[in-house]
Amino acid sequence: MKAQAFTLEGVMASLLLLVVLYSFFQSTIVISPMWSEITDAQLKLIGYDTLKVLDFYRTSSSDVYPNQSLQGMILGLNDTFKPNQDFIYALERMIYPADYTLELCWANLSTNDVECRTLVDKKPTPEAVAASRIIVIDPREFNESSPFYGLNYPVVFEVRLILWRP
Amino acid sequence: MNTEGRLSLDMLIGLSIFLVTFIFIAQFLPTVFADIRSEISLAHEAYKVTVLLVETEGAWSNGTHNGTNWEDYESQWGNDSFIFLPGLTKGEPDYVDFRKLKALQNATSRHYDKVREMLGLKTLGREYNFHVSLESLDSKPYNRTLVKDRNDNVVLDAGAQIPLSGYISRYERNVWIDSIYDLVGTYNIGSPGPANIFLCKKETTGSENDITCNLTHPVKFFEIYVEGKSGPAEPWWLSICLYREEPGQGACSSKIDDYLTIYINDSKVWSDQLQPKKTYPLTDVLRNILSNEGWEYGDPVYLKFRIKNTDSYLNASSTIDYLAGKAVAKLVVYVW
Repeated sequence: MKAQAFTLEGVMASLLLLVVLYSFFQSTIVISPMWSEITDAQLKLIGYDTLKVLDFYRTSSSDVYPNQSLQGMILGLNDTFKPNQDFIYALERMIYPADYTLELCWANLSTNDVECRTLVDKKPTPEAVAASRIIVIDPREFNESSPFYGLNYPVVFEVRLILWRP
Repeated sequence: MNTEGRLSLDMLIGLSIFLVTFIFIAQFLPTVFADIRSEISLAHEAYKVTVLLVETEGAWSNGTHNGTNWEDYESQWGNDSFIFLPGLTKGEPDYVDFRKLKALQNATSRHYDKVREMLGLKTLGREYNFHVSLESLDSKPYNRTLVKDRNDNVVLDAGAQIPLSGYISRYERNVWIDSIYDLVGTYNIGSPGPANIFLCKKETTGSENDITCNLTHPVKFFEIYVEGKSGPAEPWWLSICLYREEPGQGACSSKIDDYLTIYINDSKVWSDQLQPKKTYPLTDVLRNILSNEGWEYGDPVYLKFRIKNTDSYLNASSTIDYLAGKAVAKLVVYVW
């Protein structure tokens, strides 16, 4: 009788150890962060590329910023801080099928503070990644309906694009 | 009876089961990780290739001279003493040179192994295959749309055949290409005579040209250049009519003398005075009109021109997007 009890304990103990080992190696936690990084890297690159393509360099002073450029979008903002539809079209076409939030921050030298406004507000997932680009605009470019009209210093903007897979 | 041996026997049985299974798992496990490791490594290789292509100008050296214009030395690409890195930019990341794109197509087609070696995909210990292509922004892995040049040839689709299954890593980069006019077709819409142009069919009725195009909303690049009047004849006008269904022969009869006018169901929605040697960029105009009229992206658009005594050209593309004043597409790299 004693031998049967000892055998059962031995078998049970080894089975338990095997279950623990099997569960450990089956777990995807070990490798999932690496996968997430790969996906994030691709999305982040798309974000940076998109902002770079939408950044318009003037080749002559008579060039007009297109509505679809970052500068054209910022110059077209009014008190509602809603980007123009041409810009939204260009942005969404380049990041498709990702979803996004768009923020604009700028240095306010009057208050010595950095102010931010959300231009397109959606709820990011925890895997969201961010890309940003710095734009400088001459204060003489702003028209009267712009919230930046009347400033007497070049305004430094940071356009932040937060991307995630829907 | 000696009772001490019972414990050893029980332990031996249990330990044997554990060890046999443990050895099996230990042997099986590395193969599982090896696969994953190789797939992660593939992603890094694909990323590296995109960086070399869209963030560098490229480089060449023949031992005595060097430079960045590797695309100009086509006759030497195959020489052992000539080494080159086929970077594509014009000195700025994401800003790609059309000539370098065409050169990469030729170099990869003719010297695949050498290009693979130069991109670091073929070394002593490792060997990867690759494929590189320039695709439209709406291109999908399972339905690729390749960018075409002004002569309707594919700009870049080179490398080994992409396998249908197995571990393949795909990386894409948004780029803009210099110049847009290398990538759009130019079609004479003012000259008389029937022809198939772009996605359109041209017919002549008397002194008027009648052209019907089958497009998809949003139109990617659409521009009209007016050279001037066709001789001293009067009047001159150019009408563009937009329809959801294929229009009949008599459709698009509205016109305004001296004007380029856009109509929806014969109602004027946009117009601009005709002037000689003037370019009319209509990509954004058409997209906004169609969106405002309820067209969804992907919906068909039937566009009909009626042209009278106007010497004019259509610059158009169905593969390259024109965004923020730039010709935009994506460079896609596959590595396996």
